[in-house]
Amino acid sequence: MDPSTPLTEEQKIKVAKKMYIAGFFFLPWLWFCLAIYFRKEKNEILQKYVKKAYFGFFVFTFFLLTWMAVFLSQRDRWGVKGDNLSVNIPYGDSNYDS
Amino acid sequence: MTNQNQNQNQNQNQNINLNQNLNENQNQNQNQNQNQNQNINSDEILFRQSEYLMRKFQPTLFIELISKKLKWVLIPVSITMILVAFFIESIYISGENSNGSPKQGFNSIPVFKSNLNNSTNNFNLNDWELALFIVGLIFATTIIFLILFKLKCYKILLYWLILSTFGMLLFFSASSFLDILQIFNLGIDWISFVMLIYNFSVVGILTMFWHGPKWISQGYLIIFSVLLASILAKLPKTTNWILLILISFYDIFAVLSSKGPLKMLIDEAVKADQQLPFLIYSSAAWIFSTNFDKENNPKKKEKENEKEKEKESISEDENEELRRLIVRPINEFDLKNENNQEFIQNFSESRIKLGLGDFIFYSLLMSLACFSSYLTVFITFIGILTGLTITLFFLVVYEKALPALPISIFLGIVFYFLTDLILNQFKEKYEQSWIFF
Repeated sequence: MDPSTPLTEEQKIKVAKKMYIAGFFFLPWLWFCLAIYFRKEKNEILQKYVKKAYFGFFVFTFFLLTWMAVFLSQRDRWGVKGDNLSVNIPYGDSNYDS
Repeated sequence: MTNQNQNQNQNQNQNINLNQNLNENQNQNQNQNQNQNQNINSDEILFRQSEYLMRKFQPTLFIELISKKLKWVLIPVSITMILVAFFIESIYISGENSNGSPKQGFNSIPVFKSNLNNSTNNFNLNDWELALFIVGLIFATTIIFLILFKLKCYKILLYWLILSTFGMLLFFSASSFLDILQIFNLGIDWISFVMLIYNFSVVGILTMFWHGPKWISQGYLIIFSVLLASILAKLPKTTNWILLILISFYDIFAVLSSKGPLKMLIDEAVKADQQLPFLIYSSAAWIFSTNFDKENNPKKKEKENEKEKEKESISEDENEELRRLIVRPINEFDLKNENNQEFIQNFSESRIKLGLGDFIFYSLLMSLACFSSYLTVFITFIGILTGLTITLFFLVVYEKALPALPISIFLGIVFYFLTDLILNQFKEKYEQSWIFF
């Protein structure tokens, strides 16, 4: 929240730690922002946080994308459960029923 | 007051012209400045210095300095408006979906007119009454802000702002995402949907109000403006036009007149030496002042408030440093002098801040132009950018908080109606007769 003054090293470590912990609340995008924000830092601790953040982001996105792919392709087969899970049911015939 | 300034400027210029010797110039100017500094307040000095810069010595330098800052305000405004044009055109303009059914873009947010239960509804508003209602809401929230600020509850202001931004981001991004899903005939499950929206909003709040990569937070401001403009575009057209005109008048009143709430807010912030916690967009975001101990002295532009929350530009005080830095080049006519370089660097580091409400109402005007032909879109775009450049020019000359809305909106509206009424007919004629082929 400080608009123009750059952060000191200690402040950066604190910010990185808080962002890393907050990313565990199902926020992979926050991990990605953390990794980008401290990408060019030379500090060891910050580099560790950056690596952990990249790792967490890729793992989480991998799982999320797999789940989305599974859902979008198999929704037809699931019948009522698929309809209950979905937000928007697209138009058109499904390949499964017909 | 402007006449006085011009006279003093002319006197100063004449005195400088008469003297040949550089030392004599410096001495005389120092004497003059000392005499005049005692009598004249800072506004006149700043005005004279900018005028002096513009006319006398460094016109190309001035234009060079201004263009860098101009670029970094014009680019995000252009990006916002282009995004809004694409968004509105693909989703809400009548046409066909990807599966052949006609687009129904207006089904996500109920407008005020539905009487589902046939009960007596006290909230039946006309179109223009709705516009008046929105402006009234904005006025009321500014006054609440002012009262809260005077009572020194800065934390409450900040938390209220954060909460309302969070709610708006959640709700409007979810609504727009649903519209996109329906238009492009996609399916998604609740889990992924909630994950995406939740991620988007929470990270948006964190980067805007806390630390985060600067371009991501500016990007969120742009996306936020696009979302809000596309939501406001769902209101009836008459409401939108009247809202735009009323908002520009309200902006002039709020910023320039002494009773205006925004001006009073600025004065309060200056007196209390506090920063106003608002959503603003500032250019030159990547430059940090490493050489100087002095703060960046930002130049501000005022903006107006939105329905439920306020996004205002900060107007900090013009400190002594800025005054000194600008007064100094009068005494040194050598461009290669180091002090001049310092002035140039500070001048180029001082940032122009443009408030978020400006973005939103420019985008609203663009979305209104999208409902007509492509020609109106381009021409309104040009009109808004022209108005913005003119406002920035005035900002540099007058060096105080200025309303960013009225000139752009008036120019945009004039260009839109001229195009709609006159130029479109011309376009149809030459399209039919194939003159240009």
